[in-house]
Amino acid sequence: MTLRNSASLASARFAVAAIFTLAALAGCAMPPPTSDKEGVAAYNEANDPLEPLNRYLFEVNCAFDHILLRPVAEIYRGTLPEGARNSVRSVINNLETPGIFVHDVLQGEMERASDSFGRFTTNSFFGVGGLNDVAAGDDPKDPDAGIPFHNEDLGQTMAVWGAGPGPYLILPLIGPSNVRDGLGRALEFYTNPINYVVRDEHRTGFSLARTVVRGIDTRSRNIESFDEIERGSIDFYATVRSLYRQYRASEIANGRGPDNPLPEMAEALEEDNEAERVSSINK
Amino acid sequence: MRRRGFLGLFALALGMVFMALPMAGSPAVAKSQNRPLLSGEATALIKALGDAAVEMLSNEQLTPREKTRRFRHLLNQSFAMKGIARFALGRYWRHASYPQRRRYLKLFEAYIVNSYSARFGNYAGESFVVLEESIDDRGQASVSTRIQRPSGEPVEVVWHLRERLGAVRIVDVMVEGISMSLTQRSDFAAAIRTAGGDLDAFLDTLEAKVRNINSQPPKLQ
Repeated sequence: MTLRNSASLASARFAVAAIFTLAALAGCAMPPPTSDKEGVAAYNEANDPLEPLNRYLFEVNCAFDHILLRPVAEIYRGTLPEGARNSVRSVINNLETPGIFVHDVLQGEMERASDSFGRFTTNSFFGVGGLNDVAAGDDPKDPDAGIPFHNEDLGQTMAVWGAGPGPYLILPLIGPSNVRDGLGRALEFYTNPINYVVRDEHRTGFSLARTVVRGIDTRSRNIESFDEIERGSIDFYATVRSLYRQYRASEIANGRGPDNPLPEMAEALEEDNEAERVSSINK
Repeated sequence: MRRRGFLGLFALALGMVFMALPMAGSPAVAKSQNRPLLSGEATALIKALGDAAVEMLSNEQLTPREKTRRFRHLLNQSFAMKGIARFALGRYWRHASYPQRRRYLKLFEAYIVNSYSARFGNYAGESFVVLEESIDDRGQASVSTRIQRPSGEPVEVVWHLRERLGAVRIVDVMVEGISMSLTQRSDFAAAIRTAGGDLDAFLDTLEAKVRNINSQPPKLQ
């Protein structure tokens, strides 16, 4: 099959060009002077040289969420019963699964590849095109039975192949990302075999529709948690940046993260010689 | 009589030698005097904490004030609050004066208590099961649990515990692979930078947050 659909590649190219133009206009975050070692370490940890631009786009995305995405997600949650919404998610998951299978294989994860293959065939036939996620075997008494859905994407595959994340980016409408994951998203279209099943002129629309439905469904499942994160944090932007980085790291590791993720924490717990204590325990 | 006394003294001396041995043993152990956790110890603590939390949250006789008081008690009993607070402040802790540190530690505790007590009303019968426990080479334990929700997906939560000065306490909570301590530190680091590195200005911001966090009622559907 030839890749005749260049519309999404062109739009991706345009988006990248637009981002760099905007970056030039908005200026970059100034790195601290090299004498400030800890400051430099913190700057590198945030990995966000385009912070002023990103903060601006974050605000724009929040406004978009407030005006459109969140209200739509609330209506979606309010009108459709839970079973129907689960079916919507199952169908979308099922349509993405061939692509996930490709990434499982590219990452050398044969067991997960076989999970994806089994899920797709089972749910497509016995789950009526994915309307019912029979493969997951959702038994509240035994959640370990069945094969739960797992996600993979091009960004994760590139990470497994050794690509670093690159600077943090906020993508318009899409949200938190980084150079690697953003590039992965732009090219993701070409890695899901399901896109080649539909006719040429419908491919972009088919892919876009899945993205939009997935976006609304995911947003509807996170209304309260997002509110809580926003309400609880002092710097919402920085909190989301940290959450995104950790979330992606955990996704890339497929749940096999390091045993002790916080080696730096030992120091904070060790030096405990001062007399003061968190005192209110006795109140 | 004399003989018994001698034996008793000998036993005492022997006991002292044995007690001193582990500390003098390997240099690694001598440096940090943390006792490696025994198998099952961390799980028991997490189970007890979970049961106490569920009991407190589901008890409709308790006033919000009493619930908050119990929560604060559980928090200080089970979490290494000071260590977590210090970690969250990162490099700014070392440059902080003693009055600033004291003020920060108080505010940090109030911040956590208020953040969570605002959500007590959202409790809808969640329960949790302990999945497994593992102890790493430094004697620190992690306990993975699954929070079951009456509606919605189960959430996987991993609790990291270690022993310090005779108490086994939680040092971090990871929700679906995301560390709460690390996220908190990123938030504070950015807020301090926004305040131009001025710790007092940051503490004022934190104090305002502590006051406001409860006054915004959670949006109900």
